Amino acid sequence: MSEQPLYQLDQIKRIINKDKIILDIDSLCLPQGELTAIVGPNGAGKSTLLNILAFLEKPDQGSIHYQGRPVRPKDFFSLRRQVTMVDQAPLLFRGSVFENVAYGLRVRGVPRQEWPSRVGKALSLVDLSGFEDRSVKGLSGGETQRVAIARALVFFPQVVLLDEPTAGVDVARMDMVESLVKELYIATGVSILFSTHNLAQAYRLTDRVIHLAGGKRVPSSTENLFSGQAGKESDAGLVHLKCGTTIRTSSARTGLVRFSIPAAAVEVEPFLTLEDHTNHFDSIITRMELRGTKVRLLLKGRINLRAEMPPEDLQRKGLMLGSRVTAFVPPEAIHLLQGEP
Amino acid sequence: MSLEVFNIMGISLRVSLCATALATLVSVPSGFILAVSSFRGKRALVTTINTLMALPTVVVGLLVYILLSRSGPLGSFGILYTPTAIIVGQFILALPIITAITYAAVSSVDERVRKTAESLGASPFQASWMVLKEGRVGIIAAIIAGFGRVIAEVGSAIMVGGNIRGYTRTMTTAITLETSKGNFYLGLTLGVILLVAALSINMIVAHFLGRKT
Repeated sequence: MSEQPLYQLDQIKRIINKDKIILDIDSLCLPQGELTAIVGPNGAGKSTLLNILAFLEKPDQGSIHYQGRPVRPKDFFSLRRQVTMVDQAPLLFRGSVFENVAYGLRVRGVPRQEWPSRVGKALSLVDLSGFEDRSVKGLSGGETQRVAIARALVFFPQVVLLDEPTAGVDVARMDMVESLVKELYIATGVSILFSTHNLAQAYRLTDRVIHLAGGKRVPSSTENLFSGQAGKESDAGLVHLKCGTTIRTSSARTGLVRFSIPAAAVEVEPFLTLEDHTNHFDSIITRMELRGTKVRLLLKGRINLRAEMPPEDLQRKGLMLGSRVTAFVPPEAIHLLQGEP
Repeated sequence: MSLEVFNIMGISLRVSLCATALATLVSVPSGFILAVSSFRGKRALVTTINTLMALPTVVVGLLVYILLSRSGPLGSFGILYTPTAIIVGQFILALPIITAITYAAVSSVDERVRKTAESLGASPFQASWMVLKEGRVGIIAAIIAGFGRVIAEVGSAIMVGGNIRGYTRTMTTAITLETSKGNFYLGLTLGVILLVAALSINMIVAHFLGRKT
């Protein structure tokens, strides 16, 4: 029997203030037992999507299937007990670490004699053994986050949702959180979904990356996201990136714009000497990975690009790791995500 | 005399604690619901409740007197000039204070408390209970403020209680009586005893809070 997907979302819309659509997902299927990243800029709808997946917020339109079963409004409370979410700035209740971690057991009516062992195990998963009697007042930011994760794991949820676990943290703590997420995924096998605005971080942790922008899912799962300043009306379509490069798009927008370039749309050729450099980037292949029937390339140059091509094309063009190449981004392949019309 | 003072103190504490307990039962849920719900006219209602905190005790006494007097709508109960009548008056006085401070306490609880509790599997009631627990310091302060208001009030107690010796004479009505008789020293002594009683209750609550927070 084939395993049912964990979530199947269809035509989901979340509308606020009567007509403002903050989330508009045509279709989203998430398999069981996976580590999945939801990537997007601020305001992309990541938190709203996580709230819906955590059954904390009801969509205004659309249908959700959880483990193959349609979710009705009256199911939200019971399903909420199978899923848990940890906020980007987790809040600990007043009292001790033990009281916090045991909260999920208390509300589920788990016998009190089971609490110490289960709290102890959850704390050991986040490397906080012996912290049971500590007051939450004296905990550091990193310890608070780990207690919140232990509190989420203590009742063996089927899904753990982490809302921007590394937002606003320093590099050392970001490494700690990333390691923790990876270790938890390996140790517990639980389905983990985390949101981040850091594309590199998403790909560091998992290959299953969902892109959101402007409340919508960006179709390609392998793409390049950029933001820049769109040119004036006289040079409509030109976008000036922060790195100093200019890229031509087929959309005439002004102001700050965000756009994506599907990796499959990036054309890679052996290095060419060109007179017109528009959307051509002199790059080096720094990584090659076989993904299904295609090879995914990481190209480093004035801008870093992901590209995809069949292995036979790669062979025909004589490209290999370290090759100097020219990457071409067709303007019509650039998908504008946000910008002023 | 000392036995009589004990008797007066006992009546004072009994009626004030009873009125505060009854007001707490009504005001804490009211203040909580007011804080977590949104409806048309909420701001006006909050302003009204805040204004009622300044309700003069004699006005409350007068209203309760009209209600409970023999010809009043509740006159048939025959409770005017009884400790019950004082409890009714003090209950009305404590209501807006406990409601308003509970409202402020619950409003200041971090919004993430409810969401966090729900995301950990709490039912709506369990999540509400957690919000109340997080705001408990403010809610206990509301109850203490309500108690402070009623134990110290005299206007209502004297109007609806009648200051009957050994029956409805409270500490404050006794102080009023002794002052009117020119026994300032006794009046002051009773005032000090009243303050010591209020201090003792506050110390007990503070000790309890110190252990729990």
